[in-house]
Amino acid sequence: MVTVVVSDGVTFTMEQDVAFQCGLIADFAGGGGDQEEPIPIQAVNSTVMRKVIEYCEHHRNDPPQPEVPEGTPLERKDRRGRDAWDKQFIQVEQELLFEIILAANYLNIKPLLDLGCSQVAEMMKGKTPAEIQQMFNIVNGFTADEEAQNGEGEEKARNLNS
Amino acid sequence: MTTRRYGLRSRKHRAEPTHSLLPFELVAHIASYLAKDTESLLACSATCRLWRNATRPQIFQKVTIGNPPHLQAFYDVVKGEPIIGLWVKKIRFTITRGHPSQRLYPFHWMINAGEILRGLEKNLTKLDSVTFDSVFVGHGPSDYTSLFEVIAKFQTIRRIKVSRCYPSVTPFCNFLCKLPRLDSVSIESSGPVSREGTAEGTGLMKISSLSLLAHEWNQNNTRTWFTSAITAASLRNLTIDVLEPSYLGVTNRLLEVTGPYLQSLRIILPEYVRSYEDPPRLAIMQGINLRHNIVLRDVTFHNPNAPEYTTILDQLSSPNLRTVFIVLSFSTLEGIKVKDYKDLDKRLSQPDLSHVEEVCVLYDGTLELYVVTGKIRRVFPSVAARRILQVQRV
Repeated sequence: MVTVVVSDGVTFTMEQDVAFQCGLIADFAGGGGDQEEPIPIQAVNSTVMRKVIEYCEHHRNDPPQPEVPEGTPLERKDRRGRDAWDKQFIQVEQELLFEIILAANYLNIKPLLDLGCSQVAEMMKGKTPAEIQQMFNIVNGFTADEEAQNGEGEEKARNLNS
Repeated sequence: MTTRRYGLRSRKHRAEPTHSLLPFELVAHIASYLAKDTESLLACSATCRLWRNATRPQIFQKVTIGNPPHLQAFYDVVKGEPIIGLWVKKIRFTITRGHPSQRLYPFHWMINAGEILRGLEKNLTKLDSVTFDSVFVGHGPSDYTSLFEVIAKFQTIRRIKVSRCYPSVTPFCNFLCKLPRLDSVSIESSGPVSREGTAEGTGLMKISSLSLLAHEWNQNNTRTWFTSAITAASLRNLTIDVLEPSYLGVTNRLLEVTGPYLQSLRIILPEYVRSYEDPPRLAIMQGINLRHNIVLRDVTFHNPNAPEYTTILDQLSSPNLRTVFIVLSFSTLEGIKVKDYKDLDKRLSQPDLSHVEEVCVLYDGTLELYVVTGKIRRVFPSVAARRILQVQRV
């Protein structure tokens, strides 16, 4: 068993195959047996950690993803894909979604990071700049000159991608 | 003093925008999922500086050059902002349907393309992949020399794809040999190779991935050329179709050379090939030392008990084989009901496949996927089957 203590002081105990899906914990534990001392995870709170553990428990029996060579298109990298459970799992509040992404990045759980990032990308697809700004509360801060440059660049990019 | 704020943050933190700000690398990672959706990338790019910086490399990663104005625009963009050149990894040359250049001088502008690209040699230092799609390359060397000679100077190129190119792919075969880092070659639905005047294929000895699909065929053909060109053991992934029995000889020779080293083999057998004699057309696979997977696509069986069915299964005897995908297309089945395949796992387990960890039988019509060896791991639900289907389509 592996025990971790998160930023708000809550302690979680997991089986090793669940815990070791987190690269950070696996590194911390050194791949050895049971870890007696709780591992401090200061960048993740208990709410997010529960979600992370839920994900790791669901995927504990997944085969390891094959190494992909550098330069492989993204759609070929994500061999695991998103099944129905993943889609349901990642349907969370925006704030929690970002925190899951940050936690997955911090804990080094690549499939969860990919799942979270692809979910944000899904939310942005087909939206106008204004809709995206509103959805994510983005303040653009562009100057008038930059706005003009953006317009020109957009036209060029559209031509080269047509 | 006001603080400029940008980036992603949750609604809850409007008052404390930096709390849940995603770092740039994660924003860039999100943007990478929009790589095929230019309009969404452009929309994201217009939202704030962070997203602009994160999406622009994706926007310019893949460039399509379909006519002379495109090419000039591309040149101007890269010269005007040299950093864009570092982002360009894929260039696809095509002639936009209906463009005047297609009607008047179908390939002359491609010659000019070489001259223009020559000026970008020092800018496109990350160029990885070049696709020629629907390009008429002319009959003689003089028609293409300029463009290909210039592209051969981009020594970072690892992937070349040729699609719908006529009347001949000979120019490409000459050009391929000049790329020192070439790793992947795909030729689809294109004209044949004329062996006369074709350079030796020494450059192909190092490629690891080859796809030859649906191109024209004559006595001195593409496959024959590749068979003679690929003499080393570098090939790991092979995709090839067998459009008629006469192709089998060349296909088998290619497999004889590369087979012992292949890790992935995808053979496409149109249904009508079955009706010819020589059912054990995959007999060559018996000696193959595949480790990862065999994808038999469009392998259909009128009757699961027919001899050819058992024959193919008998080929899967490589001791290192770990995963086998067999795609059964129900649309071509005659007189066989879907339920007749429900016990297919029992029949599949008849050959000695104890060394194989997974045999996935994908029922194309029902999206049911079973793992059917003695080491049954799980029965995938239909959703998982779709997932596997997507992998195959890639």
